[in-house]
Amino acid sequence: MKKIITLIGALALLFTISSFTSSPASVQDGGDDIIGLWEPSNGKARVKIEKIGSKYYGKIVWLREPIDPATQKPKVDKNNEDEKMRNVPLRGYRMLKDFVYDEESKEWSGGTIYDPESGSLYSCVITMKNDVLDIRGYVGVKALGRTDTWKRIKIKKKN
Amino acid sequence: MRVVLKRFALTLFVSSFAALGFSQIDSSFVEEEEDYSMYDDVEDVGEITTYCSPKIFDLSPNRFLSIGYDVTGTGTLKTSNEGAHKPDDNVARNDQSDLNYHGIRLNANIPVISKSKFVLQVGGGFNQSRITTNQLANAGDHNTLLDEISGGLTSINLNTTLFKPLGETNFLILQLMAEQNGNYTFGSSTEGPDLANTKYSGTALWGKRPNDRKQWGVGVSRTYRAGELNYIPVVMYNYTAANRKWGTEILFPARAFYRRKIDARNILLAGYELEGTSYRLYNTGFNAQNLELRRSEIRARVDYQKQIKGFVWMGVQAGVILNYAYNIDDLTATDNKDFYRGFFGDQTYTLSNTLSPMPYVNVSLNLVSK
Repeated sequence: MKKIITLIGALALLFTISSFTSSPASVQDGGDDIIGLWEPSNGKARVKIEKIGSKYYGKIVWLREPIDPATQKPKVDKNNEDEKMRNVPLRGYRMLKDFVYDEESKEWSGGTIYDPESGSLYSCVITMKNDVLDIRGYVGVKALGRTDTWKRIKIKKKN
Repeated sequence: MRVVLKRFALTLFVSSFAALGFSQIDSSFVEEEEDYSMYDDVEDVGEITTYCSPKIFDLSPNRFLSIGYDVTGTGTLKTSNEGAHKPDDNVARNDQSDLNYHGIRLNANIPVISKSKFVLQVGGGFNQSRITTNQLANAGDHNTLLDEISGGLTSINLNTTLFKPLGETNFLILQLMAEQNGNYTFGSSTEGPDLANTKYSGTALWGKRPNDRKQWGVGVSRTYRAGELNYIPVVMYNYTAANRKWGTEILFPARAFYRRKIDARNILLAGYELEGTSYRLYNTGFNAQNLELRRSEIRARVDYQKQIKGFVWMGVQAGVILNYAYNIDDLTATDNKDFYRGFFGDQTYTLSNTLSPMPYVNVSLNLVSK
């Protein structure tokens, strides 16, 4: 009896694991290629793109000028439209949000990119080629936008 | 306690965006502690070339689409007789009457290609100057020229702007525009517009962007801003102060503004813009029949720009229009082709006119990019 209960328990556990691993959120596809560390063309920041649930997010992890010359304190999101967000530190800020990978078009879409310098949130679509991202932020329709290129970087190994 | 606070901050962060419909991070996700110093020392995997941006910090927003309305106060138009009047002659201008302008202004500026290494924008504009006057036919208060333009002046243009960065600090800007201007109105049976009367203008400018707060450039322009065809040097100087509260937006001599940033969503500009072009006068009662109205005005103004919601901004301008030129040329002698008089030429005008200063207001609604 004890063996049967153990067997049922093991099967239930196996079923639970398999149902998680076979869910769309966890399918390993080309979407995960975007995960890693990236630097925008202006070199002012470094952004870590990660997957949370089934979507992709990009967090600012490094700033070339981390201190605000006006306040002599770490830079905060002072241009945000939402007053409550204006004291949030820029380092650690998720500037890319909610991207979903489309295997057919090979692009990450449905997300937004936030420009801390203007406080503007743009719709955004991302494509990747040879460790370079084309990140297009736009207003309403893709035609009203601008594309920036980001390069993949990696943390230097310590000797 | 720290973890609890962190979770609270994250929840607040997530919920505030979720409430706006911006983002919903997986609720089971817990932010991990991050050692940010590990990102100080990195090496490239991908390769890109760095180019300078077409913008600097805090410039007034770039308008993709704009719809506006322009209203002026009363100005007095004084007109000479039809003849041959040298530019510097003391001309008798006995015809006079009062007029006001009002009209719609539509402009579009679409980035067809917009990448780090190349930006190409294509745009168009429709600007109308409807005229209101109380002059009476054949009365003492009567102006013959006003008879010819009382239906209004219309300007339609197509334009393109190319921004080409030449590395990290240098750049080139090329701008071309084709215009159809005249005393025509759509839907009327009067003559015009005629493609043969298209006016072409353009600017080429080389510049430098040494940092995020300054960009300057020098170039040359073929322009009708002074009313008639001219070739002039241009100087660009866009600057934002270190405190990010004020700056300049200058493309001399076309415009020069002092910018005051009230906050990221409210901007005040004070300065001037030189506006002008040459309008074909169709079906006139004058003896000469290839007539061009050389209209140019300096709009000294205060311009308040405010974000309404997202990328929708409104603009309110108030100021005074100093009418720099309002003369008439006849192109018959040059086989209906435009000619260059410049600032020092002595070719005669067919009518030599003046229009007194008038106050004006312009309101607009704009779809912008910052």
